[in-house]
Amino acid sequence: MTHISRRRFLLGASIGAAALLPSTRGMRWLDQALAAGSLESALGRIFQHRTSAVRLGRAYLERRPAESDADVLRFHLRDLAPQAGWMATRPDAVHRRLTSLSREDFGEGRVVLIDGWVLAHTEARACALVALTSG
Amino acid sequence: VFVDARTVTEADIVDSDVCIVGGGAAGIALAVEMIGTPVRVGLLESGGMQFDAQTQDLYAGGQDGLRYFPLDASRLRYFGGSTNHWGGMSRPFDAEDFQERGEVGDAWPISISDVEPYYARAGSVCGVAEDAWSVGYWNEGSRHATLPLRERFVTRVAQQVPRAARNFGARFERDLERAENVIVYLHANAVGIETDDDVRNVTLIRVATLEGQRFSVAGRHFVLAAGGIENPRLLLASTSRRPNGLGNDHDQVGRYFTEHPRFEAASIAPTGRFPVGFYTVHHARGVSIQGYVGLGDELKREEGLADVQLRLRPVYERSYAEARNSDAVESFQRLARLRSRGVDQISQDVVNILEDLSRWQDTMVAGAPLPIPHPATIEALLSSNGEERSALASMLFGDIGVFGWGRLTDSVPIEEVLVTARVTPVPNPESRITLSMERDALGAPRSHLHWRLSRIDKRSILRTLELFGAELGHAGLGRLGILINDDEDDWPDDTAGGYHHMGTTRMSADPRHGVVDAECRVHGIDNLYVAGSSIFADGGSGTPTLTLVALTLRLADHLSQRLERNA
Repeated sequence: MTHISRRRFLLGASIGAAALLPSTRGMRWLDQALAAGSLESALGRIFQHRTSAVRLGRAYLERRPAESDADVLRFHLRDLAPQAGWMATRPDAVHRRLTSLSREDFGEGRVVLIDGWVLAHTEARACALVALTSG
Repeated sequence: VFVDARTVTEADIVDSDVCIVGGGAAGIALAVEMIGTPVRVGLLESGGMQFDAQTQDLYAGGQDGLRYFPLDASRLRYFGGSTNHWGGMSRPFDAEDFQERGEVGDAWPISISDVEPYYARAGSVCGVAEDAWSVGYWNEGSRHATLPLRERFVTRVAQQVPRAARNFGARFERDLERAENVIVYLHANAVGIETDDDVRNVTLIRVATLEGQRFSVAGRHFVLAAGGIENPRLLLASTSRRPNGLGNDHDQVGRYFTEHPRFEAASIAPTGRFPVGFYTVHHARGVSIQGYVGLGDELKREEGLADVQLRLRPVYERSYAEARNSDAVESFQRLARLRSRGVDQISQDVVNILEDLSRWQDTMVAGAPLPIPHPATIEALLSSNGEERSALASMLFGDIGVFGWGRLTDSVPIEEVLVTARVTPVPNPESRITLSMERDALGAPRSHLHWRLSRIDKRSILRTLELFGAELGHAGLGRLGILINDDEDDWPDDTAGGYHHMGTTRMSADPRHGVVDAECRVHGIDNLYVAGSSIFADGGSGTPTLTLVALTLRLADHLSQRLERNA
């Protein structure tokens, strides 16, 4: 086992961080990697207007009380993050799938009316998951 | 020839081969079609050449049911009839309109092939620029694209007749004045229809003027062309041989009154660029056109829905709307018309630019710089001297430049698109015209409208919006929010119609289901015909005027052939 002194560790970490810092791509990657981990955290980052997502999600759950369970919603939303691990739950990947699955929903008529708005099931459920899992 | 009925006696009235009641779109089209033929035509028009309040009051009547325009405010009672306020939007009916559509539409006893040969002629009578209705044709000629929707949805195109051509009275006055075989009696109100003893033939029409003259007009054939409310009113009021009115043995006269109810029904929040220009009134191939969206026939049948048209209207920034509608802009347009009389150079340049801009206006959307100069700029320009004009002109070109850039890059965002829904209601026998207890100045019973819609009409609108909303989401265009409630018995307060009075003497093969037969002849009465949108079996997906004129021209052919055979 190689012993690394506290001073050497800090130096190495600083160099590593310095190597990443000038790269915007690198920063974004680091940022996303740190944020990743769960579908909920990805959705939390996608929905910047969290309050709106929560309200919409609650309205959806009023119409579909049977789905008022995070596990049920995760099951319905499994295609948003088809694989386990942080790669699959990176916000940009989830966002891409959310968009394409919602469009697919619309194409197949899988829509829900919330206060008159015609929304795709996937996007409405994503809001519902945010509503259920946000503090 | 025009004759003022207030100045004639019964001895002056000439018998006619065809006596027409009503000088609106149908009556005038029929009379004009017969100019120069051996057929002697008499046309009875209630009004004169101008609006008159006392004459207009003969239209007043009662109403119940859904809110509707006052009956004396939804049509015009003088020569030219309601073409005097016609909006000019024209589109023929589709083949499907004439077919049986289960719960949502009754079959006509004729098909599109009976009417189609008359549409081109009807178009020229109505002032329609081109006998072309395919969306591909207009899309190709338009600078705007249609929405990228799947085939289950259709875009239909209506042409707008130029304002100057819309008024049939003004357009055909001279032709009728010169016609030797046509006499137009002005101020002549038909107040009753008399028949022979067995009610097989009409013998004369009783006429009254507001000044007190009474006389009768005899003829070989009679055509009621007085509109969707007056046609049934006159039949119902003609009780000397039939207590329930003429042609009403099966209690059908006045039933199935319909309109094209419309209201703001939804709002679209675009997710990006939303190509709405094709759906606003704009020019393509030199013609004013407008597209609207609807469900394809297959989808409508699959879902069992009535026809619903969706019209799209981008919401403009307030300053843009103000500029566009301002008096100053109007005065500039007037200036444009003065161009040929010679104005100074700078004004000429501005006029040229404005003319160019007027072609771009419909592409403007909220958040963009003004497509036309701000009214204050125009006002200043108009009142300025030559030197000041140069400075102001640069301001003007500045606006134009910024607008041009926005248009060029197509990057101007839309704030909101409002959706107006127009439904073709399912024929409803309880929606009807009856006679009121009240009487008008001529002693005739006033009409009473019982305006009803069916639950399936509202359901059709809601479902069409839902399907359209899903389609917009699928196309990545935006999200649609429905603005109306889902109570199928509750209609929005702003429900209005298009002043389209239809269905009250509907065409049917069976006298138990309608009033006129396939030849527009009242069931059971050999020489009494009806022309106009009151004969429509339902409202159809097009606009009424073009089709009612086409059917009138078909009737003209029928009458000419019949008169020729019997000559």
